Amino acid sequence: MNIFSGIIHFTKYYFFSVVCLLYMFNPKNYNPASRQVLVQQIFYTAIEILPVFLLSAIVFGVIIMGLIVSLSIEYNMQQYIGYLIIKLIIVELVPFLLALIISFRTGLRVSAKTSIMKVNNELNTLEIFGIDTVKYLFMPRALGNMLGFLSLAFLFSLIMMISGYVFLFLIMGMNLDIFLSTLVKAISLKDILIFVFKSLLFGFIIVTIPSYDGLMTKKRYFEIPFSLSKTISSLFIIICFIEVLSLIIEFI
Amino acid sequence: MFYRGVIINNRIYIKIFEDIDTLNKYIESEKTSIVSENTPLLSELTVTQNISLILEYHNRFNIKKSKKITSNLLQKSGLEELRDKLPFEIGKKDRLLIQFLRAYVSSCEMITIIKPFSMIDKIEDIDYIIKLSNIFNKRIQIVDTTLHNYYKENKCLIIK
Repeated sequence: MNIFSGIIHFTKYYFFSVVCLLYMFNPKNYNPASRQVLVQQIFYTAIEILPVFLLSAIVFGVIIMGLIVSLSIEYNMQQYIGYLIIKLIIVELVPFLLALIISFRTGLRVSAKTSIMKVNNELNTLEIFGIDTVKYLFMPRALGNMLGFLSLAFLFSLIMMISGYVFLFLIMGMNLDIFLSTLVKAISLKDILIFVFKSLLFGFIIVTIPSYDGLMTKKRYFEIPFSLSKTISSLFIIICFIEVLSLIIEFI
Repeated sequence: MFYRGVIINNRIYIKIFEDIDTLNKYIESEKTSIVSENTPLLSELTVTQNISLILEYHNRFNIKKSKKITSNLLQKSGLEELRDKLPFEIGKKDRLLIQFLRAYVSSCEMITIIKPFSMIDKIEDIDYIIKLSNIFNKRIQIVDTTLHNYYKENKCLIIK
């Protein structure tokens, strides 16, 4: 019975996300109302979080890059530092860590907002006034989060690289030119594509899964916490699944 | 469809239905903008944003233009001080009025207020809507079920 309802939910979510995705490519779907939601979502995902994000990115950067640099020196693998930074840190770790952070922040917020709107009959109001909820709410939120996520992922990567350089400069006295050429040698088009695609995908699911869970909430206030816990567990599973998939693609 | 009614003026009238099913069937058959308990204001948006959302979505007016229209409407209705307030910060009567203005800016020629007496505390509060009907050029119908049957199980100040 659980597997059966799981399949039904997955199918419904699949169609919901496809509709959201298709709406993004039609310029007619962008009216002043939906553009406001889009801008608000970009602000919420990528700008409002900046002070806390920068601080945690620097802390993460220092710890992780410190470990990578010291381990590679200890095991005499200095020549692989560029590959470790690009393939391990930038392509794999940065989007994954960011996805977890943004899930807890944006994912839970979107789920709570949607559930509350459902319970309060606000989604019903929108429908009665002829406002398509996907066009006005869910599509701009998803797109805003995708763009916000991608920008943060670039910023996080940059901080990681700067931290890596600082460590290499302090420990090995490596100059900037050598560091940059090491990175350029290590990076490939496939890495860039995986990084961009994965970031956009994480940004998309972090909004669409909570939105779908919110829509499925029954019209009772005590259902909202259940919806939130369902959202967070679904997001965690899907994020891990995408990460494993990306690792497989990376090594093919 | 059976109902009893009262004509208040050339723009506003009341229809009283025997039961909720008949009322719902009647509403479904009408092309109208609805004001009711089941169409609340969006809690995350301010009063102005709630009204201008309709203009921005359907008429594709930019934010500046829609805000200007909304501001004028609020001013005409004497509600301009509510402009930046959120729905939970305003009283029941004002919420009903803002819902009315939101229905007014939609494209339908008629506004239907469903069970208004369950949305306000004092029956006199509906007078303001009747006054507004003279300012705004749209037909208004107030629909409800037989008042006694509907309110007898509720703690309603109107019955008291």
